[in-house]
Amino acid sequence: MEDSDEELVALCKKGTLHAFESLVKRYQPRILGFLEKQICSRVDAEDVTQRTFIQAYQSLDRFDSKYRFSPWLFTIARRQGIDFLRQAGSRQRTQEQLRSEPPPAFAADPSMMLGEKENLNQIWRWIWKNLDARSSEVLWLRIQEELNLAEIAGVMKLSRSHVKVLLFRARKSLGKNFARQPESSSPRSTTQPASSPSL
Amino acid sequence: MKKLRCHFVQHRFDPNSSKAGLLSKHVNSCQECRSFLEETDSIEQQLHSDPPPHDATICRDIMRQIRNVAPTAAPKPSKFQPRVLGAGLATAIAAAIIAMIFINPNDNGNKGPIAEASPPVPKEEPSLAPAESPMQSLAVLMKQQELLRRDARKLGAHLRERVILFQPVN
Repeated sequence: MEDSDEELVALCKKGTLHAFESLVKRYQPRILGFLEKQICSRVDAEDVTQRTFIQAYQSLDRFDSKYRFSPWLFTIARRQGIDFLRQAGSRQRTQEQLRSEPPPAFAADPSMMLGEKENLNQIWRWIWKNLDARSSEVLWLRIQEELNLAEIAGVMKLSRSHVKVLLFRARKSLGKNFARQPESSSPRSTTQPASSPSL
Repeated sequence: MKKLRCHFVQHRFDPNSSKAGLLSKHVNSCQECRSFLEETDSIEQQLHSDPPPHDATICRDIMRQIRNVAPTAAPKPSKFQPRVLGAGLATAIAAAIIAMIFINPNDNGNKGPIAEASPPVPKEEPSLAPAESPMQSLAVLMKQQELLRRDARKLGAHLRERVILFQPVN
């Protein structure tokens, strides 16, 4: 049976490097996946992932074991990603780079893409491209990392209400673009950026 | 998907909200909200994927970096070993011998700086015999006063020599 995150963190605090290695193995793909979407570069995301774990290791004594480990780690990762983009002056550029990418080869009905797991990466890229960065991050933390509202608010340094609104809008946008179409309706173009639907 | 006009669904994301119960009641009666939630929940489920297995190369690089930044903690001895005890005893004996060589109480001609700095101990004057008449008492008191003045002068001279604070300002 695998040790829980909290048990591994407790061992790390006692100086067991092996326990930290287990945490690295557990979280490396998840952190890399998040940062890859945020930074839009696999190589840079690997570099920032490395920085994230080093900072986590150095700050481990400040981690409060009352809380879950994953939101704490994602807070560090997100901060590192933003710092990286800021240093490169490239947050804006990243968005532009995403928008200039050719549209994904979605089928006429994008909802058909959802059933195929191999398309998920492409769909997430589409989400990151068409929603603003914060909404995309919130959506990722909610769907992929299954964090609750309070944890997302902690990671994003936003109020719970703000996260709720961002989630609501993001889900509406998803619903608008990925909901299964009735047979009679015409397929929508997926290249059109998702606008905030009016209520 | 139809345009959604209800704001209740926002509370869907916060099960701890006081309005969560209100939402569930509302959803039962509102077809629009129900279909919205069903659809978006379904999309969320389909968007979720398990993370891929870890990349061994990246993990190795991360751990190498961490080993570089991690302090090299010396392993703590589980027991007090006899070898350590012997070495400690030998060091203590050597230190004691060195101390005996350098701090010799009989060697008055080779005083250290601390001994030199200490004020001279005034020689004890022969105790004065108790006075029998008032004139004798007065003479004894004057003698004692004279002795005290002399001692004070000696002490003052010593302090002026040894302590920089008492050096006269030119």
